[in-house]
Amino acid sequence: MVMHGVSTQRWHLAGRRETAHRRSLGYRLRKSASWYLFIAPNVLTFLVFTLFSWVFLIYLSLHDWNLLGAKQFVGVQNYTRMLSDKILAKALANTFAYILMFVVPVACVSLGLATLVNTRLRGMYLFRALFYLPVVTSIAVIAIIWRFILIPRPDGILNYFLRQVGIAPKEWLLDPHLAMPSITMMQIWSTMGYYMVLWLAGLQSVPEELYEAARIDGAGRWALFRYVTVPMLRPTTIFIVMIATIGAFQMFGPPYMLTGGGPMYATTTMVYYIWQLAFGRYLMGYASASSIVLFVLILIASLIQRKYMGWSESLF
Amino acid sequence: MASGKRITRRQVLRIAGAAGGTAALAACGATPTPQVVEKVVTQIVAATPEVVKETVVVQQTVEKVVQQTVVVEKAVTPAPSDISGQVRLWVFPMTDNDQDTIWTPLNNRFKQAYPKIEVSLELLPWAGRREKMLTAYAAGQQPDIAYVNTDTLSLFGTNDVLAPLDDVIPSEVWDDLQGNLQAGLMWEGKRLMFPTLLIGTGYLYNKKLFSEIGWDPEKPPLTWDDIRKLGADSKAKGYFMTSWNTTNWGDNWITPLWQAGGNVYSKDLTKVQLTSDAAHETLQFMVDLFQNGWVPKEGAVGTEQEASAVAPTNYWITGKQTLSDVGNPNITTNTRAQAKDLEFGFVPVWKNKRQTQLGGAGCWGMFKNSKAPKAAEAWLLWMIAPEQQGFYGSVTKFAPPRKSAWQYWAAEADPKKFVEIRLQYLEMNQDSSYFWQEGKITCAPQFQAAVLGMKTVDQALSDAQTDLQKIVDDWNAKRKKS
Repeated sequence: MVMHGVSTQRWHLAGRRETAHRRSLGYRLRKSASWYLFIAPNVLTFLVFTLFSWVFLIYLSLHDWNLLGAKQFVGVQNYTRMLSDKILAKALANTFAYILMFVVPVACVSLGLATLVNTRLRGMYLFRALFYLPVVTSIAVIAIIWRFILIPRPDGILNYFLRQVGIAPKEWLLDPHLAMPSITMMQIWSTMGYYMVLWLAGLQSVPEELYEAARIDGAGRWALFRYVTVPMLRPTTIFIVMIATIGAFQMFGPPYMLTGGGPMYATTTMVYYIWQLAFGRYLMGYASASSIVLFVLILIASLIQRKYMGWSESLF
Repeated sequence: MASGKRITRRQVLRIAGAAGGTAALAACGATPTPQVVEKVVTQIVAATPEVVKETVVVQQTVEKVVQQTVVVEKAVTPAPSDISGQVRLWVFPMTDNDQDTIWTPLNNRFKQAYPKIEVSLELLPWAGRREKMLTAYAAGQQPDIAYVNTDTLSLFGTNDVLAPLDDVIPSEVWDDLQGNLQAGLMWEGKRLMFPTLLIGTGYLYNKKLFSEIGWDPEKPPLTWDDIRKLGADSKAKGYFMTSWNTTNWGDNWITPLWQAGGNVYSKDLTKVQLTSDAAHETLQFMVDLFQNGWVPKEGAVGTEQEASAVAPTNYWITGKQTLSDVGNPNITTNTRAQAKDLEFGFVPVWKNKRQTQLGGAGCWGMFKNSKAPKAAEAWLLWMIAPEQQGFYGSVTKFAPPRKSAWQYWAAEADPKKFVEIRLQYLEMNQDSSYFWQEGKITCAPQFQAAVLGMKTVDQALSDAQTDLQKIVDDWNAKRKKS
């Protein structure tokens, strides 16, 4: 018994030592070294391209710097300057207007497209590919096509079709009230294929049994869509609305290629203005501060969407 | 193609003889510096002008001109220089295939003269060139030498980035520059760039359309009154006169403003002068062009470069415009290539109170913290020699900025004439080299407001003046502080 008791004690002691050893940092590092190796590329990428960039961005936002000269610390001057910047206010208003005109329409149009191409008809793969084509087309090519469509004279393509239904020709990109809607139209056309694919994935993951059960209960096509498809697409909807909103906040290509932010700043978005500040006026500090404000706005928008659309991890 | 006339053996012997003699003399002396080498070449060329001239004329194609020049150079190039190092060079494309047509031949020739210097060439796209250059510098990754335009002079000058070239390049080479260019290369009394090509834009006119609208096809417009009349006559027959862009700061603002007798900035760079009578007249001219339908409306918006890249229709090439878009000398060859039946003439530099035109220059700039400054200097001196400038201009169709390089400029007759008729009118001053981007970005929205009828000319100019003056004041305040 005694012997057994001693041996048990020793065993316990050895066990505790073993546990302590296992808890030691060195042991854990050695044990998990191979795993760190696996995640190292991602960690490094994150450190260099995200974390460092972020820290540097914050640092720059507190300085006056034109990329070539010495950086001068200016405190929060770049932030207070924004309060009196009329062009920044205009860019912000334009960005919000674009988000309102873009996000919901592109979600609806692409859902409609996805529903159409989700049918099992011959040649449907071709249609899917065709609708997706603008997504993989260069913005320069898209801009050429749309500059053609939006020629501001009666012989312009869009104006021609409008005239056929009795609508007077418009000066699309030249009219400050129509320039941003014109760009939005182009953006919806060029990105709807991407969202269509996302919707399609969502549609195809809805279990067929649910439709069968609803049909047995007498549901028609609209009822199937309203009470089965739409609720089951909730995670996809939230995802699409979020990424479309974030993308809309960052819109840059169309004003760069088509309008140069004009006419009279009518299509100057936040990102376009930030680019102009940085590389047109060489105000890197002010551009950095504006970028941080843009980030905060995107964050707030995402948090609001999370709260009111019931987003949570489990949805994904 | 070649005219069929071949260079004779006697002529080759004459070149080789003259060159060989000088090479022997050069070899007897101390190892010459690159400047000396250049002078030797120039002297030979000067000594046998008829031979060189003949070879250039006989051999029409650029490649053959190069071969001829190599014959001369091989003979006169002294013993390989001891200068060594790697020169990082940033250039931007001027043709469809710069690597094969420009840089491989030039590099091969440079290698013969400086075997210990390695040239590392980076051919970058034009898009985003300013961003690339600035970020590379900020990251300490800038090249030793880069192709730079004079519109970046104030930025580079303010930040003391480029090495002054006054002591690097001999004074006689500076004196050899064409026209009134040097003011545009100066920063606080030092010359920071050396031109490699001349930029002098202009217009062509369509002779057939001139006849159709009742104009003498041999009499192009000259004065602003002519231009206004041409605009009205073109419009009456359903044609555009030319195209215009509110963001084309150089051709569509500075040039007409100078012609109206104004300037954007005062000489001492403290005052913006956009509320002058000349500025008023210029913006009114722009407004008339758009509001009378003399130019396509779409030019009112869109950044100049990007908008032209995505322009839906080329009204000039399709025969719907009496004058071409404003263009470089290669607009002549492009027109011949794209519209074979279009018979064109050359429009002289427009005249209002003055007959003048914004000149520009694509330049070489040498960065101060070069890792191989001696090698970079050697490359620069070699590259700006008349033969190289002539060759570069022959391929790119741009005129060489050195007078002595014109004998090597084997451009076709059209681009040559295009440049010749405007050469004496080209100017550069503070407007061409300072606050270029800032001016463009700040004023274009106001110009748009005026041409689209959202503001009066005076309102637009007054707002542009206020915004731009603030930028200039900030810049001056910072400079005083530093």
